[in-house]
Amino acid sequence: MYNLMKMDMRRMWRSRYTWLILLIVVTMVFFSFFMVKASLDQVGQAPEGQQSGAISVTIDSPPEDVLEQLTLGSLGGSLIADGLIMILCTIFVALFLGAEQRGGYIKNIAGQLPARGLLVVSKLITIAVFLLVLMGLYTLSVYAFGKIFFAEKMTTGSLATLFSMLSAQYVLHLAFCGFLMLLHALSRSTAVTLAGGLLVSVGLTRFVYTLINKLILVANSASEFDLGRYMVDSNITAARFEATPQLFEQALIVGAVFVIVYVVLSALTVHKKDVC
Amino acid sequence: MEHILVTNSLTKKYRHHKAVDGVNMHVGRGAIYGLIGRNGAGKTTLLKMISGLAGPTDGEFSLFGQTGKKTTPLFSRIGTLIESPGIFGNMDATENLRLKAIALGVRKKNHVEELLELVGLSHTGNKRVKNFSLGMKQRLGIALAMVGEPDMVILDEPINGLDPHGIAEIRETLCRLNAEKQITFIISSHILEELSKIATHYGIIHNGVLLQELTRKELHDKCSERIELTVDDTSKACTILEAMDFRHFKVVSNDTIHIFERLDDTGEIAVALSCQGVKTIGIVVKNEALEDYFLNLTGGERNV
Repeated sequence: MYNLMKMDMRRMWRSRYTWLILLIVVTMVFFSFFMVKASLDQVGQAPEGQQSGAISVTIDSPPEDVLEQLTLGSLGGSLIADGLIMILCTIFVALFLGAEQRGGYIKNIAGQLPARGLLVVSKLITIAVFLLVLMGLYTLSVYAFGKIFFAEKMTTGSLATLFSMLSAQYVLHLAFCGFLMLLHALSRSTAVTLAGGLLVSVGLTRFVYTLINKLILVANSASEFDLGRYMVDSNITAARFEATPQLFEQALIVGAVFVIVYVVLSALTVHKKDVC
Repeated sequence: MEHILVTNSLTKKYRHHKAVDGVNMHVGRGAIYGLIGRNGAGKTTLLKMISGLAGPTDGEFSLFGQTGKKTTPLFSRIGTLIESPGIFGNMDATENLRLKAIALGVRKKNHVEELLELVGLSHTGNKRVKNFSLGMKQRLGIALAMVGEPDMVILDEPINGLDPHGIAEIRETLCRLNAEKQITFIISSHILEELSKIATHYGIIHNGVLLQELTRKELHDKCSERIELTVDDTSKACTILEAMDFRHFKVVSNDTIHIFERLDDTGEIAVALSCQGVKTIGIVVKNEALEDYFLNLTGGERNV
């Protein structure tokens, strides 16, 4: 198991896409901050005549108010909740798992393991390390570019809340990666994993949850059941910096449960299915 | 010969199709076992099962003398090259081998370099595997199967896509490993002529059924040139043949004798038998090639 993990780690750090994804996250943070800064400058400098009558994209709050809210948690949390890390996770997991399957390398090692399920555990640990680096780099980038673009107006905010949010988001994203692993174990296809992950990242499942909620409401009009509260992707969207401690707690539990469920199901699938 | 692999009614069924049907296979230690069969005969499925990549639907097999769950840790002593070489195209040959060595916990110094030397890829340097020729990829696949110095190596169509020079190199490498390190090989192929140059034992599989297992000598006897003599009294005929100084002959049935020497002496044999009162029913020189033998055994369709 330890050897398998060492192999996966080595492969991960020697793959070009790993570094490319890390570069992308820094670039995305840079561009989003650049755009925010540009928008705020435009609002501040726009002449009176242009602000009335013309069709334009505007920011409701005065620039000063927006700048007052610039904390590491609120800025960082909003991009995570909007699915940036989910999309990058999808690309990484699909490529990382797909490379072994596509090239047939898995046949070299799968037969020689005491249990094929170990392949899943080893990969989850490798993905967990990657996710840690990705989120760490993301947080550092948010802070660094915040300081560059907004100087002293950028603050860390409550570190305890920041830690709670990042912890919850980390576990939820790990569960999301677990979902992708299960999808890959079932389909053995990079394309299916990529498509499935991207569809969830852009919020397709929310329509399904709403539909199920409505069906439950039809069956029981007094019901206040909300499926989204118990699902990984909905919790990723909800667990922002402004969320309550109870929500972070709930997100952590949902994430942890789904990590276990997805890993067990993936390991069973890999164990039961023939290697091809 | 001690058997390190014995299968007992090994079966693999996909819905209503039996890819492997009740195979009883015996592989001795130090053998080079050639698995012969046409495309779709069930070779790969059988090899996948005995290398732990696929589970049998029915039947079982013993590995290194162990059966059932006790075989699980023993799969680490088997190296495999199934279907096509499993490689990471974006990495070089050294890195591909190193990754497998790490996964198997092989800590032997210079192991990877030795393997590259063994298969003649030590000159490839940083060249990415995706830019390798088919033959080079195949040789890397064999090197990957050899990581960790396994006791048994399973090679599925290892000479596919190789040029004659590459085939000769692989053949020489496998024979050397077998002789020097006593590694047991199971090699599947549909190129019978090539397999016949290295295999010590053969298994002929057709439509998922293992039709016959035989040693090199047995196959050689069946396929070599011979006089097929049919007489009414084989014991008397044997005495006459011995008197004529024939040494290499065999009684194969109640009325048939195969003679493997002096193939031009059919006339003299017939006369000698006649003089001694033995009736010659038939005397003919036969030369059955390996391919003909295989075709006769599997029903005669020429798509091996």
